[in-house]
Amino acid sequence: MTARLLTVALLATLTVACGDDSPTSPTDTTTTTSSGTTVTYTGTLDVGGSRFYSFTNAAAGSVTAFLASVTATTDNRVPLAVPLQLGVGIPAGTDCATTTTQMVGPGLVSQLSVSLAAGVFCLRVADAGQLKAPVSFAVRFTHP
Amino acid sequence: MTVGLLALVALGVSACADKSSTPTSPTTTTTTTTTTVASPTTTELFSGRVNVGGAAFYAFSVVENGTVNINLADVGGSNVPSTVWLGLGIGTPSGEDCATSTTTNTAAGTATQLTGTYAPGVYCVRVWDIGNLVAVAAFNVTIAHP
Repeated sequence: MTARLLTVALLATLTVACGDDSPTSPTDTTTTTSSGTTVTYTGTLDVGGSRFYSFTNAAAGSVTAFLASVTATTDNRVPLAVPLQLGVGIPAGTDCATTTTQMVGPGLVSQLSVSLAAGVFCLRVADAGQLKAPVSFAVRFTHP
Repeated sequence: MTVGLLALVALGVSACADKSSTPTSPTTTTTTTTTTVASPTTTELFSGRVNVGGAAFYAFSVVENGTVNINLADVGGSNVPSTVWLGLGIGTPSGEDCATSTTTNTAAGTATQLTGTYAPGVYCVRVWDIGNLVAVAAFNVTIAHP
């Protein structure tokens, strides 16, 4: 009897642990430490499209960024090696007017570093002609 | 000789006469810092569209401390009355949106609907549906700033 109860409990636990395969919507996360604020900016990018994210530098300092991942929008478990354009600039109109840009593939090392004053700036992700279909992206950047 | 000695003593008394020990009143020094408020010198046109329940924003730079005037000039579109009220705000670009600090609900008109004094920096104007739209609205906003 005890063994039967244990078996039922174990199966219930496994069912709960394995039950949720539904993909969740991407969310941006922000972590602030004494060395700066780190933002993980996620979204989808259309063919030929661009997206930007505005942030405020509390003080002058370096902004570093890397393209953490590019995946198919239909299945975020399929990594893509396609390069995207990363840029940093100032919000202007309905876009981000970049002053520094770099073509980068997904990687987990700093791919863009720029010294900026205190104030409002933006990080821009764009397709420079490499995409054949929409993709999901994740960019991680740190600013003062 | 005696006359000379008297004159010398008189001179000494005279010289010491002004050594008053009476304290003087303190004086107050007032420093006034005047911040110049510049008038708008640049006008930008923000032409955009707002989806039902949606929002749009436009970023601009103020180069010196001064007055910013925002005017929702016109609203239109299929099934969108020109008198429809929208949200209008000014703030700072943040993330993928505009974090507004001053807002109003207004219909389009010729008079300035939002005004304020802003320090040099990057700001944004945000337009959004406050629940009145049943179709996509096209709008024009003028932004006058230093």
